Amino acid sequence: MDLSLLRPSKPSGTVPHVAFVTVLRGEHVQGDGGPYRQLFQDISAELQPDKVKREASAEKLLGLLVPSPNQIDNEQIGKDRFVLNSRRNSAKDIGHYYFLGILMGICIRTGVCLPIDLPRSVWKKLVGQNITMEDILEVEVRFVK
Amino acid sequence: MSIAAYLNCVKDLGLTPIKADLRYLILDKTSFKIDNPPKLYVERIKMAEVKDENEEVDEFGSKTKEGKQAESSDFIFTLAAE
Repeated sequence: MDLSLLRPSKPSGTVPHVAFVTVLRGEHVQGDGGPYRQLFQDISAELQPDKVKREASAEKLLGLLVPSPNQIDNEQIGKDRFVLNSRRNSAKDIGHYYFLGILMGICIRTGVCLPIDLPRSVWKKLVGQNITMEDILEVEVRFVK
Repeated sequence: MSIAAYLNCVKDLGLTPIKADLRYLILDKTSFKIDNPPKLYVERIKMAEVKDENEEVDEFGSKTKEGKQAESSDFIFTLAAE
């Protein structure tokens, strides 16, 4: 798919700015803005499943993001953070991470929210900043100790 | 010139208006006029039904899962990626 198709100009007036039209089949939804925003919320829930879903042993999980060690250890620092899954390194998985980046770009361009609790070390690497010990502390207190 | 007066003079260099203008300018210059945007079809109800079918109620009334491998069609994310 040509990614430039996902970069539409901002429409004037109250027309919702969407990169693609979301059709929720079987749901009687009107307008483009609502389903579009809901899609990103649903994707966020898939990327960051809550504890109940995770603990259901055979629940199917996307697994691209996993709870940080601090979240597992119930530490006070960074206890709600998710980190990239280092075991997901196949070509298909890398493609999915690439697509996550595309989604982030779409969010920036169209002003929609994709709630993802990544630690600041991930954002720092994205903008080329150096990671400090405090950033590691946010992910894994055990490692720093 | 006092510090307050100096900050007042240069505030537009560092604060919101210029950053916002620059952001919108970049987004505008890098966007395209698209008449027919791509469509993404999602069947959330069907996905939820399939998920429910994979759950089995055991004799104690608690739900157990079949433990199947996750497939692309199980997630909106992977559907969208494809």
